[in-house]
Amino acid sequence: MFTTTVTIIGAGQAGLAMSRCLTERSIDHVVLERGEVANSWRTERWDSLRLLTPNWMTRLPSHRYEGDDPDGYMTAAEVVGFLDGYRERIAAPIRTHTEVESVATVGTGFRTTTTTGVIDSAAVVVATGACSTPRIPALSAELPNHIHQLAPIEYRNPDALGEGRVLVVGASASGAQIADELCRHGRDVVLAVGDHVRLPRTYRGMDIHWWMDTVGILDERYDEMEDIVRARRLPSLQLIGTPEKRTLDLNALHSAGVDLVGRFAGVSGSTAQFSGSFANFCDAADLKLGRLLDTIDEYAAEHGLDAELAAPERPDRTVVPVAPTTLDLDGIDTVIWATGFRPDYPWLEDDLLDRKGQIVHDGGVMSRPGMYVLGLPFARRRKSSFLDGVGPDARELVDHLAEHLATLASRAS
Amino acid sequence: MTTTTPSQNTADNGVNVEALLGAREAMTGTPAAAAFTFSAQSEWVNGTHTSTTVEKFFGIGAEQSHRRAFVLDTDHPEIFASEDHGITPPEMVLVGLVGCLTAGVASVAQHRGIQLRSVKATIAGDMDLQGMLGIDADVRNGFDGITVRYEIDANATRDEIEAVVAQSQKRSAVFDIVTNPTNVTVEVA
Amino acid sequence: MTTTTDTTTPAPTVPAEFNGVPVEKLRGTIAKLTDNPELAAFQFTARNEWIEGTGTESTMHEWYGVGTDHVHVEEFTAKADHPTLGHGHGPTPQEYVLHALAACLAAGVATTAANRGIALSRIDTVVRGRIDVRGVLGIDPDVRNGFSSIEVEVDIDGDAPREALDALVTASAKRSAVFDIITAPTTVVIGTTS
Repeated sequence: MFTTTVTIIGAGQAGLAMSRCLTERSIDHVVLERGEVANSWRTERWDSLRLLTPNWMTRLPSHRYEGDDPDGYMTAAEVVGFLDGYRERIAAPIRTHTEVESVATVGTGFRTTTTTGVIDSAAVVVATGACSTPRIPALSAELPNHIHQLAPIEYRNPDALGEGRVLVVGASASGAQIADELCRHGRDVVLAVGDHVRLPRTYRGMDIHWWMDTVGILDERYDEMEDIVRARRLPSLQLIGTPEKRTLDLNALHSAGVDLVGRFAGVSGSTAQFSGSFANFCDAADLKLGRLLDTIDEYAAEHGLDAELAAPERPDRTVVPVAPTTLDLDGIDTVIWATGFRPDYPWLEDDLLDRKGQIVHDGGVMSRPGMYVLGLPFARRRKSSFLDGVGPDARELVDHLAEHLATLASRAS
Repeated sequence: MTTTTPSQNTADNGVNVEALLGAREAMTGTPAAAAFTFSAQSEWVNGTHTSTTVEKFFGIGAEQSHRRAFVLDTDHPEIFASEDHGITPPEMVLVGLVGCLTAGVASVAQHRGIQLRSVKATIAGDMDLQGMLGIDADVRNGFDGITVRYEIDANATRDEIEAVVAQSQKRSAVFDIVTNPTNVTVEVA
Repeated sequence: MTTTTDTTTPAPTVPAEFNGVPVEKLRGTIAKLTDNPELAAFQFTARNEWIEGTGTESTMHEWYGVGTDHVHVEEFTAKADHPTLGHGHGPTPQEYVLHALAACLAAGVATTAANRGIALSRIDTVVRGRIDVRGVLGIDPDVRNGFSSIEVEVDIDGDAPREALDALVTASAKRSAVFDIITAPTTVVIGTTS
């Protein structure tokens, strides 16, 4: 039996950032990690993966990227190195190879049962991230047996897949990047496109993330959004981090030779069915992009930046190819489900979750006093699930946590 | 995008927004209330002429009725060797689709504070009859594709209007029914 | 590949019109289109005008087929609206889809029966479409906007055994344009003119 003040579950960037913030306040804590530090960056990323965000945006409490390529994009291995270095620097008290089996409420505190023992604490921070368990649609069960199915966390490189045609489902960042890589390696690729967020890599000479950071979009707060539920479900940005800073949108994919079809909507016998709503998704993405660029141009004008920047311009509309609505599945060898993630908290009490299994929280403050969650999409800010977002969120949640501890202490005395 | 606060939004496109919001609230709390069944009763007249009555539907936990019974006729044109007593069933689908999309345009516009002056649409569906007539098994029976062209006069920019039209598709029942596969089971009584 | 709508039974000699279906004329059209597939390209059109709220009116007059433009015998109009939210101008758009399906299947039953020499006296159809409206209301993004399923019940009186009448329905669905439009995905592209 081990007792501490705060139990942090997960030693990725969120858990480490929270550890640092607690240390700054001299609050005792332990960090539990099922594998090694930055586990998912080690084991659940494909070989060529790079961050979408430029290196200068890799900023955690008291530690930031200090290499010689601030405008470049880190590889997964470099992220692991960065987080390993962070862990040492902040001397985070981590227990590795420790899986959480349950978190139970005991009085005003919590009992966390793990594979290496039991921990009692006054508070718990869930920092397991939002990218652990892939969401695989029910359609998966209807695919013929010959098809090799996998999610992006299992994908490593083109050579690891069978020879034939690959169907990538979902045109989010992962789906677009994997389709792009496979196509560049000479593979026959079909990409099924539903809802997606289109962005240019650079605009008027500046990285699009620089714009989103500067204009304040990444700091937009959860309680200022008209429809936060929708905002939290937005697919990941269709971007790639490459030295050439190229744009990865549907026009680029189509030019590269990827076949584009609509959303994967059904299976009938051995025929895959794709939605006829493809054009609508493309129109919606184009319009949304236009609004973002308008916002950027307004900001630039208001802040006198126009003289230093290239002129405003608008990318070409997405050219929607005449796409078939059916494909013979006998001609497909591999299906990659780039269809996002689902919540998976069997170790949390049911009343902490909503009907869909998501953690109920208000800006990261969970429904049970003393419990917090960090690193979920748009939890407090638009950048909450990004490397750059966990720090500011952690600081604010630690304020809340410290007050909670003070309240408990004053009741006890 | 035009964003207006409720007090600033004076757009009135005739959409009963209060009823809509009330229904939304009621159904968020009680999902069972959202289970609707629409139905139509159809009687064959002669040849390819059918007459359909639409009156009752089920929703919000009870049987409901339209204000009156609507009677719809369909047939085939004379070149099909029919008598053209009514439009063809595929044209009826077009009626349903465009009616749904425009209703959505009115609702979304109202929600966004955009006053509509007129909304016209031309919807067209292309069909290769070799499918339906059993001439070529590789040709589908239905439309190869449907296009809709909107002409909208409103106090909004071109981008705002396009955004309304895009959003209408996102929330349209018939757009979904047509663009995505929908299960149909047919039984003989 | 078939040259008529049905190959299960040899077509008996039938009068020019059977079940009200001018079979001869129909076979003539099929033969013409078989020999000249480019004539099979059809286009149906509806022009719709917003009335108020969720109420609109469509006009169906022009259509294209067999290589040339045509018009219906009259300008047909159809109004659609929504109960509660609307002003009672017409049935809902999704009910039009149900009617279209019922009518398409019934027309197919009558035609197939005529081809097979089966005289019919009655075809009654009830179509039901189930929909969870939390989709269209934007309450739950995991619920689809349209019907989750549609059930059709066809009641036929005709001059043939039960199995033969059942078979008419199966054959009709197989060749039905609307059944296909609904059950398989169909591409829709929407644009605005200024």
